[in-house]
Amino acid sequence: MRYILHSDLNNFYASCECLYNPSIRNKAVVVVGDAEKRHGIVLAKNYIAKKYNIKTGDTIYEARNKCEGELVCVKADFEKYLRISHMVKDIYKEYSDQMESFGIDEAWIDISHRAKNFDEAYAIADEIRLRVFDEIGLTVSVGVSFNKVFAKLASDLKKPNAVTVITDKNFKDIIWPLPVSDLLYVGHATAEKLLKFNINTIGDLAKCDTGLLKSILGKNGLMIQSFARGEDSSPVHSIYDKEDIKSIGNSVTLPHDLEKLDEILATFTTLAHSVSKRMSDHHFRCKGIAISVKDKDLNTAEHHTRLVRPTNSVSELTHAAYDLFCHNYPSFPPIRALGLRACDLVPDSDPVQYSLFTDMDKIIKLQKLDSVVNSIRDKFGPQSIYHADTRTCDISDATPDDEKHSIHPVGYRRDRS
Amino acid sequence: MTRKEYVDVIAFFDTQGKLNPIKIRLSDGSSHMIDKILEVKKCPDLILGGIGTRYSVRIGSNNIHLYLQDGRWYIHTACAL
Repeated sequence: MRYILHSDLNNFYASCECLYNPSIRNKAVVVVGDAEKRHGIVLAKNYIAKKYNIKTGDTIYEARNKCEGELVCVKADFEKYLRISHMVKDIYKEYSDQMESFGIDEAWIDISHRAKNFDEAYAIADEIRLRVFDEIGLTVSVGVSFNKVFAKLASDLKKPNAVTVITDKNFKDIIWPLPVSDLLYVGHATAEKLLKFNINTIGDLAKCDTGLLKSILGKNGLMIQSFARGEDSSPVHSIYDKEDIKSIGNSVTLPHDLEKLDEILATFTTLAHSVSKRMSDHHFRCKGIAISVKDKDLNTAEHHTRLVRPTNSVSELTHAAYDLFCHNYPSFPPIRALGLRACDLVPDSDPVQYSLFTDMDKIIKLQKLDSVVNSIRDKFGPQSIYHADTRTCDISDATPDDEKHSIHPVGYRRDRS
Repeated sequence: MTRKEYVDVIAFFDTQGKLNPIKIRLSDGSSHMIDKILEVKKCPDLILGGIGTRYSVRIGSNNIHLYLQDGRWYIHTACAL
């Protein structure tokens, strides 16, 4: 039997702000993005703000309208949140090397080597909860179960500052009556599809005919059914595991809508710098790229293309992205956000076949240039050197954040090596 | 009303790698020897905010809390509104 904890820091961003500024602790607090950069939405809120029905994603204006009393809006400080997250995870690591982060505020911890039964697992979970409160000042909800999916579900059941145990004996009583949308990997669209077949609860999903489920949802149907039956056997990855990276991308919401092609090119240059640097850091080249485009009406589209040869050069990525954009948008509406993603990654140690007519001198020159720019950025920060193009179009604020301050989304089914 | 008063501290690392403050100097220029470290605890400062290490120390006949937060030392000082 495995004993797995899932710990979830309650209202993490808002709690951090209250921790650093105790005078706002008893007020409705929301953490918001930078309004000047048009990221002005609610990212997190404390329990008092939740009472006013303020939701993540509300605009600052909507949030203020909902709150009758005084609403404290605090600008997000991701550097602070990352620092505190590391402090909390250092506590988790004292209990097991098998500690897998799931975003900035959640983590699984496999304590099978320390606990012999659920009582002991509960005691460890409670000790972690108390230590996080005592040493860091944050409340944490911990779920204890025999697999990762149920541990995560358990941590959602009692909030804040609580431990919930789901055992192999009681999971049918506790989990099966819950709505199917509570299960990991069952989003809005999947839940709607299941609803049409009268699959409302996790129990319905577990008992559903496998063939029917496969016809509705394909392979994913079988996966979520195994989750519902408590058959998830995915391991909690070790802190020493390296993630198997499938793609590397960055996107930005621009401070103003882009209407000119040179602004589009400059934005792709900025993005390519960041993507290229991350590829070089992980020793990859990409065989394909994808761009994502969001217009001012929030319509989003993604376009893919294959490259002539694998590359991690800023100039080649920029031009490939720009050409792909021009090919798909002969004329275009004002653009609100752009993204660039390198996919189909191969190790940069793999040989590359160039054509007979390639100007190798130029390629080597560009490679040297990229490596010098990267080393300057490593030493003096991401803003220390930039492409002159990017400063002519007033998109200077669009530079993606420094890598170490970025919080990248994570998926559950990750492969590691 | 309480505020953070940042102070100069002389401290040493012992052979175990632990940091031990031995003397503090307040903003009015007065210096005080720390007679005994009573407790060292990682904890948040619930009154004035932040997370760090709290040293409970004895100076003369007084027990005070000396905080180390983000590389800076401070004590709580009462101040008029």
